[in-house]
Amino acid sequence: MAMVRLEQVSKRYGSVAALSAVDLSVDKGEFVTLLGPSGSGKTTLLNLIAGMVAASSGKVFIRDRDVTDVPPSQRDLGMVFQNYALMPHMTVFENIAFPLRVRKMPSAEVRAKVEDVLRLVQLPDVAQRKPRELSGGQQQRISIARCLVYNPSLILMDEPLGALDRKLRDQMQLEIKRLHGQLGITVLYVTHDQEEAMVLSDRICLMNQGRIEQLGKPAELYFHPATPFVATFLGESNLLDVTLVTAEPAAVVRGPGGCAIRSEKQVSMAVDASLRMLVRPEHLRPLAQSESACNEVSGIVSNVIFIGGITCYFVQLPDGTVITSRRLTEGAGPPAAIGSPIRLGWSAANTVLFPAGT
Amino acid sequence: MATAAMGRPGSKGDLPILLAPVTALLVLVFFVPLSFVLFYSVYDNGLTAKAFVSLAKSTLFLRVLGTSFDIALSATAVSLLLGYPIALHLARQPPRRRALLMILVLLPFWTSILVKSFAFYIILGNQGIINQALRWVFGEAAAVKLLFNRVGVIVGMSHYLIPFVVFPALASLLAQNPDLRRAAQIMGAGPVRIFLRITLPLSMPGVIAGGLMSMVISLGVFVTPTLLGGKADMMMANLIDFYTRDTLDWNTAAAIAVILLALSGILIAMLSWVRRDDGVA
Ligand SMILES: Nc1ncnc2c1ncn2[C@@H]1O[C@H](COP(=O)(O)OP(=O)(O)OP(=O)(O)O)[C@@H](O)[C@H]1O
Ligand SMILES: [Mg+2]
Repeated sequence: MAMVRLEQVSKRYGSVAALSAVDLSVDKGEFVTLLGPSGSGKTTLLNLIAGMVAASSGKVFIRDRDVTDVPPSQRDLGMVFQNYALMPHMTVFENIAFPLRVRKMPSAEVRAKVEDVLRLVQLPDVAQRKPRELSGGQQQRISIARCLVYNPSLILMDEPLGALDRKLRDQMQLEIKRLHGQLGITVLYVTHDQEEAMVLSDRICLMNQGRIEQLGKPAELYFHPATPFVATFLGESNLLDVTLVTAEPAAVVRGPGGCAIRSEKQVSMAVDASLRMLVRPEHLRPLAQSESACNEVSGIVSNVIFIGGITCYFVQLPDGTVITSRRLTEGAGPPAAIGSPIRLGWSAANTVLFPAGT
Repeated sequence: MATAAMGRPGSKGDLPILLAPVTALLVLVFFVPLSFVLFYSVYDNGLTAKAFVSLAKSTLFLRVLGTSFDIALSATAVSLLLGYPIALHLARQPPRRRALLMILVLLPFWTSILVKSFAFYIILGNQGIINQALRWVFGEAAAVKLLFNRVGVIVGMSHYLIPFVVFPALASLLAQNPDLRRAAQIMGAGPVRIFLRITLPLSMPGVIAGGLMSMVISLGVFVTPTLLGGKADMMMANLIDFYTRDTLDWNTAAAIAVILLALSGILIAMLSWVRRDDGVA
């Protein structure tokens, strides 16, 4: 069953279209991340589901109930805020008990539930403290506990780790992942950190300018990006302008310097059409003299950067474009010197083609 | 402002020079007279505490002290009851509109207290607007006495005090993180619960500060009880006036002034304590 479903939801602020005709559905137990650059409409989408902003058009369903005109307090949701939003004048216990008191639960049950959930977030001894007596990471755990305790249909999180430092973020990501796995909760999570999205999500909803650019499993978005925007937003990428030579059964294109580049997919376009081609830096392999690969380009090494376990090669092609190859560092000393010629190879499976102008 | 100026390198030396004129003025019009008052309270042909001793036994003084607190507390309570909803309303307006409405709240300050008191004659008097309306609706017997009694004093004082209550309350309402209310809403809380459990308790420092300020001001009030009150509404300042001008007993007058000062001092100490606590929270 879909916990939340959006149908053609749009939101305009004056002349700005914050969201344009978005369709999205999150299933029970799923962890979906809204990922995208600043201003792409992630917070707007979340607030629309929460009922904090009204849709200009379209419908919102929670557990198949139309809640488009239902106030936030009647939507049975939980929300985790970036600034924690814990009540400063209440103890941790009172904070977590708040939603239960709203639901008129008897005190004995409240006490038991609060204790359980504090154990779940691994902070069993802080019940009598005020929020300001806790660290940022601990406060965020409490604010997550406050959502878990009343078991809402869907938990919304808007950049919940944005205020924490790198190390604590990594730790909290794993913590959230553990809670999701253990409790089977449904989460819609906002971030602009692609790595965080990859770590946490069952599915990623990549947003751009108020639209869903692509929605799918992290690996799908990474290996089969629908647009160059998705390709560049997730991970490193080399994008080249190419021309179609053969469309079927597997497309062949002409790349920089006239070399033929093979892919495994067919393209429904006319021969000589302009295309954009993606190949990930980690798929580009420097070739030894004796070696050959399905696809090859040759150029001059313009720079080599050693980053511990990984070495990056910047290679200038005959037409001037620079492409990057990332390899695991093996042995000592650079295998290719700056200024020396180099051939890079990759397999047809790693060639991704897009229509030009996307 | 002051901290910014002090924080600027090289500007530290300017500060004493800039503060000199105001310091001189304060010494002249505040510290010198105050020293005289302190001196006269314990001097009557030689050092003596007799003024304080006889005040402690004076039924007149004790009654006036009681009346003063009674009036100050009632006026403060009325101001809080009327001022808090105003602060709440202001806090919910967009900033531009709020700035405009704040000017309206300050409007009473633009008129002299004397002029305002006479305006109250026109509104509250026996032939005033309210009583004429009452007579017109309910007949001759419906007229009520609103002037030259406690009601007149409380109305006049609340009118003056409301801004002093509104601004501290507004400050602590605006300091609240709006996400707290959103979070409570999403957790299912209705508007009444959100107000009682979140908005109101978090605004208490401002309410207490406004209340204390209003107490300090109303304890020292002189004109309003004189013009709008009756015989029974004599307050401390009126008693001081009585001793200085009618009986020429400067010793007792000064002693009352010192007691008034001490009471205000205690309230102001409580005020700064509330403020400090507010800052930590
Ligand atoms: N209250 C508002 N009034 C006018 N425009 C708004 C309002 N809220 C958002 N917008 C606009 O809507 C668009 C989407 O904003 P939104 O806050 O959803 O972005 P976001 O993806 O959450 O960005 P970020 O990563 O910076 O938080 C932006 O262009 C923003 O300027
Ligand atoms: Mg946002």
